[in-house]
Amino acid sequence: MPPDDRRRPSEELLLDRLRRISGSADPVPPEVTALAQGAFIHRSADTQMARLLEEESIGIRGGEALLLTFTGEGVSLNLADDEGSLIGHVSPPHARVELESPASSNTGIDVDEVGRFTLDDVTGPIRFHIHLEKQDVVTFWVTI
Amino acid sequence: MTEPLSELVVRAADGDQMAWNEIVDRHAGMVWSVARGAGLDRASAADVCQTTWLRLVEHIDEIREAEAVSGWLATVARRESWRVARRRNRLVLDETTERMPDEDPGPDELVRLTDRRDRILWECLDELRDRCRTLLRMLASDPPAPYTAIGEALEMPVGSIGPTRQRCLAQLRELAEKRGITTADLDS
Repeated sequence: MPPDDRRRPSEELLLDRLRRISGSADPVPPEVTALAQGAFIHRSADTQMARLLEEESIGIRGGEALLLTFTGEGVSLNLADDEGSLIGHVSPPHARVELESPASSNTGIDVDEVGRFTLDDVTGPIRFHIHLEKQDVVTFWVTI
Repeated sequence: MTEPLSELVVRAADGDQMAWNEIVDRHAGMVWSVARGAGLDRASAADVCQTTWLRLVEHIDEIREAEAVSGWLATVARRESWRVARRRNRLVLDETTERMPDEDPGPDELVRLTDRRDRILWECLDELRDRCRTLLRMLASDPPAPYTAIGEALEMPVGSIGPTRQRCLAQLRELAEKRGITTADLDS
């Protein structure tokens, strides 16, 4: 008997065991499934707005660790970490920015004259709505 | 009869919540396994799952090949997990080690396993390198992740999954053996 045929059943047995263990030790928490189903209510609001492209940024800029940059439609928004605070920079700087999280309504963000803002105590999925004179754009959801 | 994924995607894109729920049911285990396989703790993994599903909501109108949904979800979850893991690591200034600070199975996980062999095997799974751990987690998810999704998430040709799986399981056995669990123990 070739070695593969001998090994095969025991591979399957081991995987079966892992499946069983995974099911009892680390099943998908019911709230995770509930939130996944609930995500669907965010659908209708999504269809109209232009979406910004996302690019991962890696590096340090003036003590801040870069996270992500969203660009498109003449807008850019980048995010960085500064000792636990989330630092954002939006261009053009006069844009009105709102923060959305799945569980609460959108909240306005104070952006200074150079387009910079600071967010503390933000966790979980978020996305940004950016309101310009002529149009509104939205970022993808990201985990913070 | 099981409805094809392609029909569920069309119905969900049309606003059908029941179809969406069915897509979730078929993939929630896989998305969770990717986040946990990347070494995230349960809270971070829950965030990554939610983001992944929110992203599919944004994207569902643009999906042309419905069968690609599984791979798309796995890839987004994997990328998002890595970003979160890197950020969490940086924030706790634990850059000296490749392992995530919180990936060891917590007592609440282990306490659910009554069989000593199972507990050891579960601990050994966490000791594997990221790629093996994610592959085996995805295969062990319920329902098991399709090979196409595994291939996309781990950026490997589908043809390599079988041999990689074999190698990862062999490594797992080896780790278990060092802790006194033999192949005979595991096969019984």
